[in-house]
Amino acid sequence: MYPVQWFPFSEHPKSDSCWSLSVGPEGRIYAAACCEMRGGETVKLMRYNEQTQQLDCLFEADKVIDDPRDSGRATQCKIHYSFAPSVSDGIMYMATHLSGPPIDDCFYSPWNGWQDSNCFRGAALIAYDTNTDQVLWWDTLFPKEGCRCLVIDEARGLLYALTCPRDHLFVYDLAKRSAHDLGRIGSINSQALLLDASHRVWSTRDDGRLVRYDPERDRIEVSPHVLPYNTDFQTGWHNVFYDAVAAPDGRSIFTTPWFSNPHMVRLWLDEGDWGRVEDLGPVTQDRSPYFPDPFMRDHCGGLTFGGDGQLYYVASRWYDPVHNSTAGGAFGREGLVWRMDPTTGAREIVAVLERPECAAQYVSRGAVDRNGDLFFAHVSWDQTGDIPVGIFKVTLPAECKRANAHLPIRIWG
Amino acid sequence: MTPVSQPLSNIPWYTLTEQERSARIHGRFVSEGSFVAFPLCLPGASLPIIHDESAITALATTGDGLIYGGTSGFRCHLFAAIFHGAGGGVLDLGVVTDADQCVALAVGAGFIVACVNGPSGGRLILRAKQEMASDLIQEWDFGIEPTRDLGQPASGEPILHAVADASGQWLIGLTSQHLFRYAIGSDSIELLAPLKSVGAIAADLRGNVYGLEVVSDDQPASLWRCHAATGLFTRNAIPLPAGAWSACRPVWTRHPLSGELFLSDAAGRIYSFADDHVGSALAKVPYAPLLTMAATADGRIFGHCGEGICRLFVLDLSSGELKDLACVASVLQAKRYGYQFASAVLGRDGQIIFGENDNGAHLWLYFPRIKDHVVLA
Repeated sequence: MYPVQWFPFSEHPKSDSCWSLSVGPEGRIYAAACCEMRGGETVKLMRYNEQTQQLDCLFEADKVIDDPRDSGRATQCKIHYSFAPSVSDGIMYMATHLSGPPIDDCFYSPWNGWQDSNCFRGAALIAYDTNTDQVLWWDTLFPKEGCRCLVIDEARGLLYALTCPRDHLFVYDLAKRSAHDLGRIGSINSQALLLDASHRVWSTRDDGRLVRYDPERDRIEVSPHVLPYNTDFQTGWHNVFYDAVAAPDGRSIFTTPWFSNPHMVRLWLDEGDWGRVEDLGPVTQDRSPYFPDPFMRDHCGGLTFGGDGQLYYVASRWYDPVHNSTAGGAFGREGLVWRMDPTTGAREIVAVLERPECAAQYVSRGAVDRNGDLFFAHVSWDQTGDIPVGIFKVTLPAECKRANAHLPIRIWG
Repeated sequence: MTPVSQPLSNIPWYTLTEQERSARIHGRFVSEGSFVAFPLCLPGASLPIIHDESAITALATTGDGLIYGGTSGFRCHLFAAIFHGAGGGVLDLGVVTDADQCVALAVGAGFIVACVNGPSGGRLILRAKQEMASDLIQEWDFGIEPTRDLGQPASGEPILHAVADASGQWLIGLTSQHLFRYAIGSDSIELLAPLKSVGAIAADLRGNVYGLEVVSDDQPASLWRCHAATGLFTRNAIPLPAGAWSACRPVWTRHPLSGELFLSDAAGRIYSFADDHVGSALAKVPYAPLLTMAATADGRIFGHCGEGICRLFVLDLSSGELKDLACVASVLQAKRYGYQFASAVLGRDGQIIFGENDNGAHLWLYFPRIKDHVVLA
């Protein structure tokens, strides 16, 4: 087993979730210390310091975007899957998300709040210069809604974002500093936006079909195919993207859904009219088909390629009296770091993520830094467990590392 | 730093009772009645109308309970739906060529007439009513009737709206510059008068059709009237009370029994209109604009209001009370949030069918809470 270190967000003691972790354009690891279960809080941007082996707090979001946490509105509480590094100029783009309640409340409904004075001001797009460690500028990406996920088309100077709750796809022109609504997709947010070689943006719809925005056609199109799922007890509904990572050769993408019994799926988006879809099978354990497992327990995320060209991801394992009566560790659930050979599909467990005080089965995102080590973001169970949350570092053996292992860089959150 | 293990009671959300937490989640949606969002297809046997061609912008019903609809978007489709007996499906009747917007549908004399707009202007499309006598549970058979393009009422002018009169023999419509008439099933369209009007128009049970005169802020507002069978057109026929009529696109509904009309102004006030008289405002929706309205036989008006994420409302005509019924969601058939609606008709059994004006649109069947029903503690 590879050594694992836990780095809590000590500078944000109330942070209850880390929904986003990404490598920056220069190869360092950035993470969002989010706080959504308490009123009047904000997200803080953290970065792993290789020298001190600690997390540095770079800024508090409410302060840099002039939306104070005590405004009485829903707060700028998190950065969801919305880091997007721009390698050419060293800028890390990021967009904020909603759900944190106003300071005097304990819950925020973005639907009910839409018409209210406490409505979320809107997702803020932040341009953070990693060369100078300064916020260059920020804009409201779209009013009233949060940003679920973000992808950058660096060649064209565009960012694409998905709104929450209305599930609209937006494009933001970095040169013009303006956003444009491309239309609604569905009700269940995809948790990732992908970009193909033809500059098309890919997402998913509620029924598990691939959705694609083609700038040349200026249309949101829906695939005739449904992504793979367990046909024994599922219908394809809710089989939307959770996490996705491009293979190092850039020709295919590995992805898992935001649903229970997740399958690893490989996509070749540039082949044929609607790409090619390969089902690599389930990545978590068997379970009863008669109970709808919460996907805070049955989960797979943190997909990232190491410097060795192997796919790493974190899949949960939990105690089940019928299907897995010896698993789950001290807390009944645990996060397993898997390494998978992308050419053969062979896989093995290389680490177990453990916190001394709680389970660590839910990892949102993973990344490899410029030195070749792995980092994973932890989300607490229902965000109610042990605070602060933080990130895991998994140190890979020297033979699995390489310089600039983060390249080619991941362009979506 | 030593991590802190948090008992649930330390999380503010969990200091609420289960009842309070439930109210703050479920109570934010459809606080009375139930929605069924139905996809524009026969589920399990066909795919819905294409995502960005499906926004439902026109609806009409027939006496036998069929529902017809027209869509807007990249292309315009017509569809038929049945939700009673052994039905339960939506049939795509096809694409209307060179059209991207359906602004009105009317049913009469065995036909449906669609008013569509495209790059060259507005046109009328005629087709026979759709045969839907099939068991959609087990075995079905459909023929698709051909359509006839009746051409443009006024060259190059988009159609704003149209309605059938109470007899179902005539269609009265409005382009950007003219009022027109069409004998349903015939081949010709007749221009009645030059007219600049706005928004939707409505028919009463006496054979008249009404619309809003365009006025500036300093002019008294009024309705024009057209008697469909004779073509008699009267400007400024019905004075309107004080209201937000300038730049207004009124929404109308008609009581299914009395024929009393109701219309809205730009501020979301609702007015009754009967016996050639528009009364003062009955109520005002909490968020403008008012998007849809449908009156039920038991004396209630249901509709949507508000931009972005709309809300459902009900106006009880007997008490004058208007209630905000919260945000719109369907948990039956399709699980979906409803954000924008543009049309509403009354269903066979008093349920209301709303047309969703959005990508991936559904027909939303609303089954109101039974009037005077008491929720037991």
